[in-house]
Amino acid sequence: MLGFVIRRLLVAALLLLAASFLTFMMIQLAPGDYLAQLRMNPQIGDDVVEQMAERYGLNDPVLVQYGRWLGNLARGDMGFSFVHERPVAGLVWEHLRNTIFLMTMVILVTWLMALPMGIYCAIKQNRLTDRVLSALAFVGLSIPNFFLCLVVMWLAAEIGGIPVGGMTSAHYEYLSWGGKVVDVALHMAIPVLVIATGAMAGLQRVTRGNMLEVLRQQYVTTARARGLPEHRVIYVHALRNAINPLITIFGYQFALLVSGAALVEIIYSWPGMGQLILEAVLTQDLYLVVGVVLGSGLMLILGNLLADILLGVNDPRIKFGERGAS
Amino acid sequence: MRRLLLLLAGIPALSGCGLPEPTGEHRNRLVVSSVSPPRTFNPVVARETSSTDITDRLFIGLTRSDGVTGEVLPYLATEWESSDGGRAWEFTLREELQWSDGEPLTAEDVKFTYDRLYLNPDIAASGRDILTVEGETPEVTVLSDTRIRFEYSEPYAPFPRAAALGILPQHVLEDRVDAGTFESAWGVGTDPSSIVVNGPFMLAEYRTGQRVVLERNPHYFERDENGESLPYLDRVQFEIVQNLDVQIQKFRLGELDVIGVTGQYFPLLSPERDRFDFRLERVGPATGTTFLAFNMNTGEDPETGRPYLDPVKAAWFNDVEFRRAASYAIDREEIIRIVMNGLGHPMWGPLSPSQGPFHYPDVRRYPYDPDRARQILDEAGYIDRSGNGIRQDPDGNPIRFVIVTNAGSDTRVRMAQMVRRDLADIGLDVGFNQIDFNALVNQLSFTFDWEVVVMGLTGGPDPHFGSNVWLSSGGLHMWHPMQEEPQRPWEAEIDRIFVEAVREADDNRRRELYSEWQEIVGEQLPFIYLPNEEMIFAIRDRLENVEPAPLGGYMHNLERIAVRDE
Repeated sequence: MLGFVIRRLLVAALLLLAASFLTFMMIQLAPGDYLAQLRMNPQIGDDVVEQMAERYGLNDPVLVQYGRWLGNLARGDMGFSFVHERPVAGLVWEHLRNTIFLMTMVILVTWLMALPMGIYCAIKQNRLTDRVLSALAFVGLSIPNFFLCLVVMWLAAEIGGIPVGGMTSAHYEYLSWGGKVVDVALHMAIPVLVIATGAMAGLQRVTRGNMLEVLRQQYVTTARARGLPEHRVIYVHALRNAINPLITIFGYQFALLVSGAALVEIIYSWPGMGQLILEAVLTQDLYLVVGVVLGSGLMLILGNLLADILLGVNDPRIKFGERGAS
Repeated sequence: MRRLLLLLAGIPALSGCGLPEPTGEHRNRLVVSSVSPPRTFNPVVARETSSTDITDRLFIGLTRSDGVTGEVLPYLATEWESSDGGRAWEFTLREELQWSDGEPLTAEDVKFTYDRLYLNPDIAASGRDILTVEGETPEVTVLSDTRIRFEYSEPYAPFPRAAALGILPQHVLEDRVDAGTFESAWGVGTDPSSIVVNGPFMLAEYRTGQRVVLERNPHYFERDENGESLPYLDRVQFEIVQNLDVQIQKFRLGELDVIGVTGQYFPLLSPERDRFDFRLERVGPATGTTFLAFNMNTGEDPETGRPYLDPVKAAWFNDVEFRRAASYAIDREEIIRIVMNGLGHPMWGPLSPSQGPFHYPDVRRYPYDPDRARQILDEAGYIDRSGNGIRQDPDGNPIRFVIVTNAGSDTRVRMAQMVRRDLADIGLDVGFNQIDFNALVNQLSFTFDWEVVVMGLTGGPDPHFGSNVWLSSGGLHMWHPMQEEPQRPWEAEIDRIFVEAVREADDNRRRELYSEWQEIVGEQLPFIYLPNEEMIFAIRDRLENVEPAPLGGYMHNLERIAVRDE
C-alpha cells in the first residue's frame, strides 16, 4: 500500500511538472504581459515599466524564465506575484484554505443528502417520492450554477436576513464567538446550497442506480431468504457493495468541485481560489497563474489518491501494487 | 429517514434566525466597497486604485488636491513659495507633526521620502515620472526641521501638485532601503501595527481577499472649526466585492454605506430610496476620457522594413477631413441614451469639465450630422464609384477598416459597436473586434499594427501629467508614438505648448496655453471623444458631510465624514 502511494505521488510530481510547463508557455504565448496595464497609465513613465520588466526577468527568453522558476521551486520557493508584490505560496494557501473549507462543507452536505435520498429512491423505486426526488435531481442537474447563484442571491436579498456575498459580515469582529460561527455559516449558505444542488443531483442518481443493481443480486435475495432483518440487508450487505463506484466519484468530485466552485466563488465574492485564478489570468501574473494551477492540480491528484485508498479500505478484494490491479 | 427529514427541516430554521447582531461600539464607522483586493500598502510602489484608495488615507503629502475643485491646498506644508523663475520651491511644514507611533515628522523624513524612495533609480516608483521634468529630478535640501527646498535646473510650474505624494517615515524604512528590500516592504502580508503612517487613518487589519479595516490615527494633526480633532470616524472598512450586482445588493441590505453606481443601475435604485434610507447624488461627468483614435503611424518596422500600417490606410487616417467626417457621423446622444441609460455627457476635448481649472469649454464641436459627414467625404474625394454602398479613396481603394477595443469593458464595447454602425451609415466598410486588454496594449505600444481603436485614459486636474500622451515623443501618443521629430505642424505646436506651460509660473498664462492645446485637439481630432458617464453615488442617510465629486470621489474628505446620532 505504501509503495503504491509513493509511486502515485511520483507520477503526480511528473504530471504537475508538465502542467506547470504548459501553463508557463501558454501565458507567454498570449500577447502582452503583466506590465500592459501600467503602460497605459499616463503617469507611469516608460523607464519605470522597463525597470520592472528587468527586475521580474520578463525580458529573458521563456525557457530561461522557466528554468529559473524551476530552480527556485526546488528550493521551496514558488515565485513572486507581480501584482500582489509578495510570494505566491502564502497567497495561494490563504485562498486555497477558504476554498477547501467551502468544499468540505459542500461535500458533507452533498453526501449526507444525496446518499440517503438515493438509497430511499432505490428502495421505493417508481413510487411517488422516487419520482418527485428524481425530477428534482434532473432540475438540479440542468440548472447552470452561475444562474442558480444569481437567482438564489436575488431571492435572499428580497427575503432578507441572508447575506449575499463575502465570507463574513462587516461587523464580524464585534460578534461573540458563537455569533461568528453563525455568521460564517450564514455566509456559506448560498454558495454551499448552489454548488451542492448540482453535485447532489448527480450523486443521488448514481446511488439509486447502483443500489437498484445490487438489490437485484442473488446474495441479497439469499440474505433476505435467510431471514436477515431488512435494514441489515440494505445497509450492511447491499450498501457496502453499491458504494464502491461512488468512492471513485468522490475523488473526481473533489477535484471537479474545486473548478466548479470558482464560478460561484467569483459571483459570491468568496475569498477562495476562484477570485485568485480570475485575477491572475486577467493580469497575466505569471508565477501566480502557475502557482494556482499547481495548487488546483495537487487537489485533483490528492482527491484521486484519497478515493483509491478509500476504495481499498472499503473493498478488501482490491489489492494495491500488484500487476493488473487498479 | 426520519433523521434526514430533521436535517432538511433544520436548514430553513437556521436561515430564519437571520444575521447575528453585533454587540458593543461599532456604529461610528463607515463601510465601503472595493472591486479588487489591495496589492500593497506601500504607497511608493502602489499603482492600482485598489491599493492607492487605501494608501491615500494612510500617507499624506506636503500638499493635497481639493477633491471638488482640483485646486492645490496646503496639507503637511502650510505654505510654499517659488524662486528663481520656478526652479526652486521652498515648503514650510506644520509645527509638531507626528507619526502614528508618536515620533516627530520633520523635513528629514521629507528628504528621505523624495531622495531615497521616489527618486531612487533602484526603485520602480510610479511617482518618479511626475517629479521629472525634461529628464531632470530635483535636488532636495533640508533648511531646518520645518523647512525644505526642492531645486530643479529648469522651471517646473506644477511642482506643488506633484508634492502631494505621500511622505514616509525614515526611522522605520531606512533599514529596508539600505538592505535593498524596500519594494517588498509593507506588502499585504505585513503586520498592520508595523505600518507607521501620517494620514488620518492607520491600518488595523487586512483579511485576505475579504476586507481592509482602517482605524483612526490618534496622532493626526488636523482639527475642525470647533477644535475637535479629526477624523470623526473611528473606523473605515473596505469590503472586497468583485461583482457589481453583489455590491448593489449589499448596499440595499445595509451592509455598505456608500457606493458609486452607473446610469444602468439608477432606475433600479431610485424607487428604493425611502425603503432603504439612502439618497442618490448625481455629481457630473466622470473624469478621464473614452475616445476613438485612428492610427496615423507612417513609420516602418526597423527590423523587417515593412510599414506598421498599410500606407493606403495611413493616408486616409492622416486626412483631417476624414476624421472630421467620422466625428460628425457619431450619434453621441444615442450612445448616451442606450449605453448610459440617458445619464451621460458628450465630450469634445481632452479634459472633462469635471477635471477642474484647465477645462476649456469652447472647443470645436461636431454635433451629429450624417449628411454633413457624407458631404465632407464627397468633397475630399472619398466617393462610392462602384455603387456597392462602400466609398473608395481617390485611388479606388475601398475604405475598409476594423475598430478594436478591449473585451471586458462592457460600456466601451457597446460604444464601439454603436460607432461602427454610425460609420457604416456614411458608407464606410467597418468591422469590429474585441480583444484582451493586454493584447490590445501590445498592439498600441509595440506592434503598432492596429487600425482604429476605442480606448480610454484616466485624467487628473493638471494637463502636464498627461505629457506622455501629448508630446509627439511620448509612448502614449497613441496615433503615432515616439516620434523623433513631430511630423505634423499641429503636433509641433502641441509640443511647444507643453514645454512652455511647464515653465510658466503665471497660472492665467498656463490656462491660456492649455486652452490653446484643447482648441488644436478639437480642430485636428487625433482623438474623437466619446461621451462620459454621469457619476452617481448612493449614500446612506445616516452619514453626514459626504460631498462626492467627480475628481475626488466620495472619500476626498473622509476625515470629515461623520455618522449622525440616532
